[in-house]
Amino acid sequence: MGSLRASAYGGVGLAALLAFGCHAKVELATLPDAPPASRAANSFLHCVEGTNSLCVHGGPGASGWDALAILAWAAYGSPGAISTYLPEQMKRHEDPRSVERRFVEEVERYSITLRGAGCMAVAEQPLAPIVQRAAARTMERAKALRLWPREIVEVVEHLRQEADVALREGTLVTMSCDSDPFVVYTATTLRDGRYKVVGMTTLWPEPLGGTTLDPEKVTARLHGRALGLTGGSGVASEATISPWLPFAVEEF
Amino acid sequence: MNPAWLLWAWSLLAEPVSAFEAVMQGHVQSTIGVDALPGGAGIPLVAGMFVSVGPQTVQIYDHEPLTLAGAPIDGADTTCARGCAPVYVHAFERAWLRAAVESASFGGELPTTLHFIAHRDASARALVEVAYAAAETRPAGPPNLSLVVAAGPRSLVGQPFFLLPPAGLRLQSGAAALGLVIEVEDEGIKVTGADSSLGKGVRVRGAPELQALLAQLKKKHPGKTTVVFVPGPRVRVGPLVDLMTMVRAQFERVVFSLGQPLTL
Repeated sequence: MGSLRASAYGGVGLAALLAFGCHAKVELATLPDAPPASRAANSFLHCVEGTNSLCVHGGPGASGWDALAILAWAAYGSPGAISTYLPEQMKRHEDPRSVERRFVEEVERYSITLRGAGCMAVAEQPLAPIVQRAAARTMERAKALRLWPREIVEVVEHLRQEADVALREGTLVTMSCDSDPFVVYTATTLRDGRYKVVGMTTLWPEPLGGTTLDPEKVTARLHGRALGLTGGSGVASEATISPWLPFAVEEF
Repeated sequence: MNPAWLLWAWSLLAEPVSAFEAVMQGHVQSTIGVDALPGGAGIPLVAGMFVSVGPQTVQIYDHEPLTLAGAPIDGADTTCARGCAPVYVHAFERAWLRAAVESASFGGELPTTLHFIAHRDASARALVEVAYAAAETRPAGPPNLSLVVAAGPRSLVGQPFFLLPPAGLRLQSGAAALGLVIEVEDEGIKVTGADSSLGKGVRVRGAPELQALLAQLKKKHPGKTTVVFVPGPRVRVGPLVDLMTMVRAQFERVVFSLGQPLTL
């Protein structure tokens, strides 16, 4: 995985010193000579911060990313959720409008959190080998977990082919952020001579090139605004002893 | 024309078939083995998170196993009210984060049920330690907890259980609670509770004596259904579940604790 941040910081830092002296606070920006996929990713996040889902465009690239995202989920996600929701996700995946809607929802979920998070492209990886690794791992895992042994081969192959064709020239750009969500991954593809972002996620499996978050960052994300998880107890009511003992005190 | 896999997806949506039990069967057979699970009756497994606790390791789903942590006295994680081993806290926080992100993207909700697949020879206390870490790190409050047992060679079911709140429990004086607690040690069993016959605690030597005592208590307190088990450091999962099965005939609701204060 190539690291971009050091070289970018080096160049901008020198310019900042010359222009403002040692104590000036300088906003860092991506250098014009950053790789095009990273430039596209940075522009995309700036757009997301400003206009939310208007930055999202569907098409084959988005479907390819959607196929890869499903593969990555099946390869490393929760078996309980996969066994329950994979058929629904496969149906949804066949509808381009649903694919675009998923992308829009992901962007909208994080658009407010991303404002001021200071995200910046730090690394790039080609997507083609990631597609192959995700497909291979899904097959291996589905066999071990006995997930639909008759159908899963065809499902995985369908997703692999779609992702392979759409993302063959694609790049996974890792963006580091100063605050929640701390890391953003964008998928870019080359279309009509230009790099475009076709997908985004905030969590990506480490074996497929994702970075490991520090425990403090994991805690901050769990209780962060974007996921909206903190607060409810889920299983208790006023008549019960506590959220840990959700039954009447008379039975205790 | 739709490909076969799309017809498959449609057919499962039209007639939802739970693949979760098959997943659990596959996982148990490829890891601990059904024969190594405690046996017993229970309720059907609903989809959720699952954690395996073996004699030496803890494994969330089929991910890389963690080595069983020792008693978490030094370096206990402060995000866990009772003080959990950091290795568990970090692992479960990651698992909940993954689950939260995937439920936002792919449907469903944060898992509400957490299944424990425990080897008969695993430490019962380690199982409870892990259960606390898993439950305390869930960001939306404690989940429903279930111990997976073998109801037959090809049938897995869940036995629901609860945990005493991590910082202990104080009930108001008018609650009229019995607060039945069974501390299980290698050398014997101690029963405490608010019934006058129990005094400061009664020691029994084995299961038949315990059964007789519980039958007496049940006669006096027919509306009480709950018992708190406190496993000692050398108690194994298998014998504890055997004891629980017997106790459940009188008091069906099981709560685990590591000895947190219970004030009646």
